[in-house]
Amino acid sequence: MSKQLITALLLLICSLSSQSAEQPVRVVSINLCTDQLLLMLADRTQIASISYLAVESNSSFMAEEARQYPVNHEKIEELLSLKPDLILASEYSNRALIQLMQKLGHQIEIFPLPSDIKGIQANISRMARLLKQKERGQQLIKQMNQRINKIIQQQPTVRPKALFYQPNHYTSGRNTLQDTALQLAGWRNLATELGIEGYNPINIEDLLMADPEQLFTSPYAPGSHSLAEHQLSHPALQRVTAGKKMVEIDYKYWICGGPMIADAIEQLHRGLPQ
Amino acid sequence: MKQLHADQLSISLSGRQILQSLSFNLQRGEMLGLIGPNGAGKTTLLRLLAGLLKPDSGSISLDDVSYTKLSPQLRAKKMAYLAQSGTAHWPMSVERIVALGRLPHLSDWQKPGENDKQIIQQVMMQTDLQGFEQREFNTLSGGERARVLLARALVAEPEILLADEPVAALDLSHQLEMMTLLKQFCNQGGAVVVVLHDLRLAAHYCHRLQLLIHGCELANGSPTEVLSEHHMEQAFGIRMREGTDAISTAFTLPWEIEQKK
Amino acid sequence: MRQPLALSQTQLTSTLSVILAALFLLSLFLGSNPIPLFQAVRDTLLDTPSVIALIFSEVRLPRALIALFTGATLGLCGAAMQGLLRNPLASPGLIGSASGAALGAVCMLYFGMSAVTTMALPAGGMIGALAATLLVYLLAGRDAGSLTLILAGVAINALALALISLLLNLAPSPYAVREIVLWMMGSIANHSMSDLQIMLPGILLGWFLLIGTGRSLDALTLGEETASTMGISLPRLRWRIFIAIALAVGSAISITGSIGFIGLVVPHLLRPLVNHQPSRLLLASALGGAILLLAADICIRLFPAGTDIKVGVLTSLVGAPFFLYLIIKSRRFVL
Repeated sequence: MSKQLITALLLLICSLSSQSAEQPVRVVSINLCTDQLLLMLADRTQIASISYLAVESNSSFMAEEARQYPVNHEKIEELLSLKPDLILASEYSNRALIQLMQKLGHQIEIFPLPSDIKGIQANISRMARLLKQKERGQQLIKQMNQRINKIIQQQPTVRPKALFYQPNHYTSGRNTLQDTALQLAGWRNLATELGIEGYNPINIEDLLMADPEQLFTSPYAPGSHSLAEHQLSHPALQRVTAGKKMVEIDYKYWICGGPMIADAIEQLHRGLPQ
Repeated sequence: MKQLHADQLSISLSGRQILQSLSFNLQRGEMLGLIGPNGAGKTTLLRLLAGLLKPDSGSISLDDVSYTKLSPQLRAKKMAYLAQSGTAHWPMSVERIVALGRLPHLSDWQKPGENDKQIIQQVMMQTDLQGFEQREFNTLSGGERARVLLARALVAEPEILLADEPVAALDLSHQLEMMTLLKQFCNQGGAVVVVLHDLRLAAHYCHRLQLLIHGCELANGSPTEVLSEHHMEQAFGIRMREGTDAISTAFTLPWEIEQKK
Repeated sequence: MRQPLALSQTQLTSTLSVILAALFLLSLFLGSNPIPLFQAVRDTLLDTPSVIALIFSEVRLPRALIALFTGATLGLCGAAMQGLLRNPLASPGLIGSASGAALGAVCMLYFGMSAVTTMALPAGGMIGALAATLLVYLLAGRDAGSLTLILAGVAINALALALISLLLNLAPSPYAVREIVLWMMGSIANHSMSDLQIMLPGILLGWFLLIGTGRSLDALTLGEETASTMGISLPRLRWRIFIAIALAVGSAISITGSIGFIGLVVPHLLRPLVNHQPSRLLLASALGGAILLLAADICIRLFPAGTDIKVGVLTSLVGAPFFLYLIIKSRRFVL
C-alpha cells in the first residue's frame, strides 16, 4: 500500500474516533428556555437554530444574541431540513413531535422547568455537558452563586411581606421561581404563607388581609390593555402598601429558570424598604 | 269673534291631494258635523284642526291666534281630540284613564290636586260613569269605553271638542247616548266638530253641517239645507226620502240608490 | 279580571326601599373574610388606615354601590323603554342598548383609548348604546309590534356580539379573547371606587332626563295621536328617552358588561303593583332593579369559593325562563 493511502486511512480512523468526543455542531433548540442556556453556553458555530420566541425581547433574556440565528417554529419539516445532531426541548414541548424525531434516530434532550436554584444549576450543568462546554457551565454557575450569596448576606433580620400579583388575580406560591427569588432576596412570600401552591389566583380580600408591604408583578404583555390588566391598578393595591407602587420585574426573568434569576433577585432586593 | 277658523287649506298625503283650498269656521256653542263620502278628507281636516298634521298651504287660527304661533301645550288646554279608535295600551283603571285628561293643566312634577279631583268627579257624573272608577278599561263594553274616553277629553275643560267618528261600532242606544253628551257640551258653551258617517245623527244633533267631496266643500249650512236631494245625489249617489215623525219633526232619510237615468 | 292591588305609591316605595337597604347591608357583610363591619365603617369615616377599612371602602362598598346603581339603571330604563314603545317586551337588553354599550366600551378599552382618558370608557359605552338603540328603532319602525321589535333586537344584538368577538380577537392583549364572557354576561366583581366614579356622571344625567318623562308616558297610554293633542311632543320625548337610556345604560355597562333581563323582568313584575301606570312604574322599577341585582350578586357570593360565576349568568338563568313564559302568554294575543 502507498504511503498516502495509509495516512489517509489513519486520519480517517482518528477522525472517526474523535467524533464521539466531538462537540455537537448542529444543535437545534425548539423551546424558549433551552434557547436561553444554549445561547449562553454554546459556541456560535454550534447553534443551528433556536425557537422563534427567542427573539422576542419581552420573554427572552437573550433576545439580542438570538437575532443572528435562524429560528424554527417547532415544525417537523423545519427540524428535518436542519439535520440536527442534538435537539433540545422542554417538558412542555410537543410530545408527538419529540416521539417522531426519536423514532427517526435523533438525539433529543428534554429539560424540566426548574422552580429553585438547585434546579437551575442542574440544568446548566447538564446543558454544559451536552454541549461539551464544561468550563463555561461551571463559570456561569459560579457567577450566579456569587451574586446570590452576596444578596443572602444582606438579607434583613426582619423580613418584610411581599406578594406577586398578576392579571386575573394570579399569584406565585410555593414551588415557583418567584417564591425562590423573593425568599432569597429577603422577603416573606405571603402567597406561600397562605398555603398557595404554584400559580393560582388569590381573592383580593385575602390579599388585603395579608397586608403586604410591597407588591410585585411581571407583565406578560406590557403596554396592552384588558380588564385583567386593568385590575392591577385597583386603588386598594396601592393603599395597602401605603402608597408604594407595584414594582414590575420583567417577564423574561421568570418564564425560564436560568442564571438571570440573579438579576431578578437583585431587583427584588433593591425593592426592600431601607 | 270666530273661535276656530281655517283659510284655504290644502294638503296632499302619500302623493294624493286630499284637501284643496278648503275653508272652515266654528263658533262657540256650535256643533258642526263633517260629512261626506269616504276619501272626502273629513278625517284629514279634523286632524289638521287638531294639530296632528300641517297643511301644505293655508292657515288655521284659534281665537285669532295662528297655529304656527300657538304652542301645543296651550292648544291642549283649549282643545280636546277624540281619536277614532280609542284604546288604552295598559290595562289601567277607568279613574286613572279619565284623570289623564288633566295633564294639559299640570306641569311635569305636579300631581292632581283637589280641584282636579273635583273636576274628574263631576265629569264622571255627567258621563254616567259613577261606580266605574276601579273597573279596568279593557274589560268595559264598547259604549262604556267610548264614554270613558269622552270623559277623558272633557276633564281637560276644553273649549272645543274634535271627535272623529265617535259612534262607529257602537250600538244604537250608545250612539244616541254619545251624541246627547256632545250636544250637552255645546249647550254648556263649548263647540264641537264631529266627523260622522251616519246622516241621521248628523241631521238630528248638529247645528250645522259641512259636506265635503274630493277635498272640497260641496255644501255648508243647516242640516235641511245640506241634506237636500241634489246634494245627496251628487255626494253619495243616493236618493233621500222626506217625512215627518210622530211629533211632526221633519226628517230626511237615505232611501235608495240613485237610479242611473 | 285582576283586581287592582290597594298599594299606594308611598307604601310601595317604602317597602321596596326597606328591602333595598337590607340587601345593601347584607352585601356589605359578605366576603371571603368575615370582618367587623361596624369597626370597618368607623375606621373609614375616621380615616384610620386599617386593613378592614380598606376592604370595606375599596372592595365591598364599591361592589354594593355598583350593583345598586347598575340594577336601578337597568330597571328604570326598562320601564321607560316599555312605556315609550308601549311594549312589555322592550328592555335595554332586547333593544340592543346593552350590547351596543359593551361594543363601545370594548373599542375604548382594548385599544388603549381609556388609558388616555378614563372617561373614554363610558363615552364609548354611551355612543354604542345610542347607536344600537337608534338602529333597532329605525329597523322596527314607529308602531312596531312585538315580533318586529324582537327581530330587530336580535339582529342588532347579533351584530354587536360578532363585532365584540372580532375586536377581542384583534386586540393586542393576550387576555382579551377570554374576556368576552365578562362583556356578554356582565360582572360586578373586582371593580373599584374609581370605576364607580367613572360611571356615575352618565348614570345620574340619564336618570335626571328620565324622571320628568313620567306624565308623557302616561299620556302615551291613549296612543300617540291622542298624546300629541294633549301637548306632548312625540319626537322630543323619543329623543329624550333614547339619549337618557344611552347615557345611563351606556355608562353602567361600560364598566359592568351586559347584564341581562333586569330591564325586562323588573317592570313586568312590578306593573300590577302600580296599577299599570307608566309614571309610577319608573321609580318602582329603579328600586326593583337595584334589589334584583343586589340579590343576584349576594347569591353568587354564597357559592363555594373558587367557582367564578358572573352575575349575568344568574340573571339570565332567572330571566330567560321568564322571557319564555312571557312569549307563551302573549301567544294568546295578536303580536
